[in-house]
Amino acid sequence: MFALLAATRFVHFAALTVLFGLLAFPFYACGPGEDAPRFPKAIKWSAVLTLISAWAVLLMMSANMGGGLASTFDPQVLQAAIGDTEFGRVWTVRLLLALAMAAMLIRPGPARDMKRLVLCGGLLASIGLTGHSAMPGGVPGIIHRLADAAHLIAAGWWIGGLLALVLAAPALGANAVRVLERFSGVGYGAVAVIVLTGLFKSAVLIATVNSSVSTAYGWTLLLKIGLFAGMGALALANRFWITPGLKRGGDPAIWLPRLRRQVMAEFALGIGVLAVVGALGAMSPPVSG
Amino acid sequence: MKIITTAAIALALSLGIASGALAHAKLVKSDPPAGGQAKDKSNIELTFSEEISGKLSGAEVKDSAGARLASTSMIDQKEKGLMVMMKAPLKPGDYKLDWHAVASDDGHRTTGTVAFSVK
Repeated sequence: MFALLAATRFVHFAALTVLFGLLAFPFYACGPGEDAPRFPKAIKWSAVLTLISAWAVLLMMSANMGGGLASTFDPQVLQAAIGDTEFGRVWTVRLLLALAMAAMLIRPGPARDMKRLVLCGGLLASIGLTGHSAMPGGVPGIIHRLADAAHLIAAGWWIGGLLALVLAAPALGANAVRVLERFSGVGYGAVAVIVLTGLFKSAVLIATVNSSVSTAYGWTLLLKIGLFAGMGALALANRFWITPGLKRGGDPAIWLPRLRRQVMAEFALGIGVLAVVGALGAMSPPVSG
Repeated sequence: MKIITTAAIALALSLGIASGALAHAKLVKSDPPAGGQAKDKSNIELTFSEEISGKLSGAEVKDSAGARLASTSMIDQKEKGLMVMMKAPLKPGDYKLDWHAVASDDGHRTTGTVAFSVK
């Protein structure tokens, strides 16, 4: 049960994160006159996967609430899960949004489409409305949720942008240095947002959570810190080794594949971070009486 | 590097704790208490740390032979409580109550057992 819930959560987060990053990429990576990459296939499939996995998460959450896989298709449990929990109400709205988004993205659209970006961003940010409680109400609660939304958007911006860079890399040619520098620029911004909102959220959480974090939970967190640090190291290698290499007039036939491999590795680590997030949210702290 | 380490820790803490350990309904107290004696032989009261869903939460009481005894349960949303009412008053002996609770907000399920006796 745990593995299924963790896996469906992971697929949903990963598909949506990637989708947002792909939709955002043309807005910052290409200048006004340049031909922006569009990734129609990747966008279509991650939109479909976002929708399917949204259903899967709902079914797995509901089965979990009902006490096991046997209750996956129990209509009474599903009805209670949707109507009787905050998670269920928020998730129902998210499902409808995911459906609207898939309908919109299944056909290729223009490279820079604000409507599609906003819809996808809303869906990504609303994940933050499903996982919390014991949160302060009123204004502090609203601030906390805004921080959450910014955190998710920034993570999508960065991790999804990496895949966009991988997909766009073969066609970059002479544009590579410019695109890389723009990507690094917004990458710093995204990391800054992740750090600031993350610190804020941590401060609130540490103030409100008692030490109910189990050992397995702690180790999983450490694993995630390791993956994230790896991403950071690769990002620095990109910035201070590959970009200058290309800028010096290094042979693109050597440096572009190098760039592609390095960004792919960074993206893989990002997917690893999302897998850990999927698992963490499905974990229960050891509760007894 | 420092900023990245900080970012890593912050991200891990925020995403991790936020989505995991917060909203689970834990048993705060029970009447009778775990390991204690029941004075009221027909009603058992559990109090949780969170609001719980009435449709998805419940409990069952078993005697020392493991046989399930008929009961109904209902929740008291304001008190974050679950009231278990036995169909027939409990006879002297040892009992176990298995509860399951689903938090009203994030839908996480928790379970637990309270052992008690009746004299």
